[in-house]
Amino acid sequence: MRRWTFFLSFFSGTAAGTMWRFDLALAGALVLAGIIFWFSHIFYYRSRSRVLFLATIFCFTFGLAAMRGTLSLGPVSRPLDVFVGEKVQLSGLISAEPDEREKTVRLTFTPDHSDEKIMLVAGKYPAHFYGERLVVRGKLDKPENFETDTGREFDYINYLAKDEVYYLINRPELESLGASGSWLVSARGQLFRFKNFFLTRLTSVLPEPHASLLGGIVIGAKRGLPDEWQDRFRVVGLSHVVVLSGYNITIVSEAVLKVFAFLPMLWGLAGGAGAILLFTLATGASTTAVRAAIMALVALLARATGRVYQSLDALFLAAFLMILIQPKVLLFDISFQLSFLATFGIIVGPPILQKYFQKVPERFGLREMTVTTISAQLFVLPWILYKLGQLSLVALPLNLLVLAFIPFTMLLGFLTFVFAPFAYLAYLFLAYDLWLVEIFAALPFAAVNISYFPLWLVALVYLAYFWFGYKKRARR
Amino acid sequence: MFSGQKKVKWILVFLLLFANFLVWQSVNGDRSRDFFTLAVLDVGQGDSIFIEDTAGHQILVDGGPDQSVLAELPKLMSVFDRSIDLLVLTHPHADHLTGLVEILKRYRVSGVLEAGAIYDSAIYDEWHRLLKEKNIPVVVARRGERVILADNSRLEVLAPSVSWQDRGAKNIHDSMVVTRLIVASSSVALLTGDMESDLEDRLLSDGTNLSAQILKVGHHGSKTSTGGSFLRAVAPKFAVISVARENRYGHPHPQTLGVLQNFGVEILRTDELGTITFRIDKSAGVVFLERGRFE
Repeated sequence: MRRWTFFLSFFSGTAAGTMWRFDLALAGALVLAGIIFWFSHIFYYRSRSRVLFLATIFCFTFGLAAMRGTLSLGPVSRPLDVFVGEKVQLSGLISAEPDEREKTVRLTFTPDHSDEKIMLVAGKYPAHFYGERLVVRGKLDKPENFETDTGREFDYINYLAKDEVYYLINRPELESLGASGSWLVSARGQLFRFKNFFLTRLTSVLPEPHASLLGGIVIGAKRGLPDEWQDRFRVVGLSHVVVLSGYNITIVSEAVLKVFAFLPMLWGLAGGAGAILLFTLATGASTTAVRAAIMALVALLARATGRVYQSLDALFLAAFLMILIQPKVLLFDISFQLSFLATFGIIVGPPILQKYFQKVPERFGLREMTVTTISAQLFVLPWILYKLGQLSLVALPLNLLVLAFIPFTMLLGFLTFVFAPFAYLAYLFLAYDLWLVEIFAALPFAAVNISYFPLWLVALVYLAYFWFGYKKRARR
Repeated sequence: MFSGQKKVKWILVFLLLFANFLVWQSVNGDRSRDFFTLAVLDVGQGDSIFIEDTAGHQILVDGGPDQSVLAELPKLMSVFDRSIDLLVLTHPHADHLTGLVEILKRYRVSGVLEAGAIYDSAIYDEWHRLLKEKNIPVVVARRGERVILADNSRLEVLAPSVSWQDRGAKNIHDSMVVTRLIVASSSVALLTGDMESDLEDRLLSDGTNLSAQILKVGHHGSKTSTGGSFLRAVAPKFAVISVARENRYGHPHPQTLGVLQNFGVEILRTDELGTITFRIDKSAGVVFLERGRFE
């Protein structure tokens, strides 16, 4: 009870702080109230009042979290604000891996002596790289929110702000000053270069869109997968296969776990964790990759031990740490939200749902996979409906049909990198995936747009889940 | 799942099947055909034309505006064929060049034919950087050059009549590389790129033989191309227009469509039909349109 009060206070405090710019005096007052409650709990009630103790935790945690959240938003007006709408010239560094799109490339640019980043939307050529120093000339703009195809407003401002990106320059004039001298930057640059080398090997032996799909499946680099195909993956509810998610990494770690199965479990776990670490480094150790890795570690722990409560603790602890480092992810990063929900589903769902799937054969781990997939889907669904408004009706069967072969496809991806003729085999699996996605996406009712799905309904659905879970648990 | 020994057996069976597959794949690889293929690829608003002779030599004329050529080519070549013998760049505009740059990155290319005029664009610089980096021989296109293909066939260069190498053009369309495919001494196709009327007229006044069964209509059906006398000189059976649906240039222009209709040519458009594939009989050079896919 104490720990849940703590986590809930922390999450709600962070949410309040990042949403409303909490008055720091008010947050301070809350912290103070917490301290007063604590004293009266100890000295007046002699540590016997449960309510007072929980109130202490709530006020203290909520207040501090709200402060941290508000502070993470930074000042109301930023130094560069006065230049918005004007032509600027800045020197600085490309501080994240370039994000290649179909016709443009997005560069995250950090000007010298500043923490506020600028998104540069540039032409694909000449190519730029992480760690490159640039002189940028162009008109400084602020990003704007926009409406998605499903009629939802996409909070682009906050989506960028979570990575400290507050400005935008469209089609800037770029002048390269060569690579940065910092050893840390060049070490990370090496990681990205290795990743690109890997992807280039794949594209030189496999046709498109197969090569890009394999890149997406193996290391979450969807570079080069045409928008048309990305839409299809979204429609059939398989986007998580082509972006970097905890899922890819879970597979890698579980494979390692299996290889080390003959060793004591602790060694196996260590091996799995080691694999996750290497894999994260190989994908360039971006923020998303690190987060996915932590989620994967939690899922690994959950499935290796089967201990629901310890795993939940680990999950909340991981979420706590991530939010502590960057409070804005809680509300503004849908990939964080979805991977948290999916991992939560994978932990709590299977023990309850298991008995409804006795008819599914246990061979090849089919039943376990079905139950896990359904658990994860159930937990992300309400949030997807609220945030994105798209309900994929074919997601469940398609996930089962595709996910079954993903681990093997990943293995083939690595093997193709080492020995090119494995491409033939990988091709078969990739063609199978693409074939399924294409026909399912073409179905007239593959996905339905839900125009209205309010937050209270989301809350209601989750409450219903918990009530159901609680009842089943009580009866057992 | 399986016991240890059984597992090993299955893996062995699997590996043998795989080896078998590899062997057959290489046998299939150099199969020769009885016909030439010419396909105007569905790459959206741009041009990309694939040619393959009976011996399996492959030529790609232009690459289209983006990566779509990468997904279209495997439908015509073997999926694992990762080499192309010749790339032809008609002119350096992005709607013709971009796909070729992507091809250079992913395929083994044995040679390039281009005018080589000076033109200031980032993608054109990237193209030349990659050609240099990969050490790919470049032939500067000039009238009279011939690419010799199997079965007495050739791709001949009709324009430019002078070398444009390292020269700037007022209108880059003037340095257009125009080629004609000849199979068994029958004129099969005239590939015009974005050739405009002034260049058409110059070819006419030079007395160049322009006749062809297939005309790749110049400049996506814009009214700056395909004059009446030019069309009479080519006298094609098929006119192919490479355009995207609802493109912002309003291509093809109704006036050009009118000229083509008046002439009684069969008009084929990539925005309506997708990739348009022709098979050419190797002994007589007669062109057949592969209709099965869209009728």
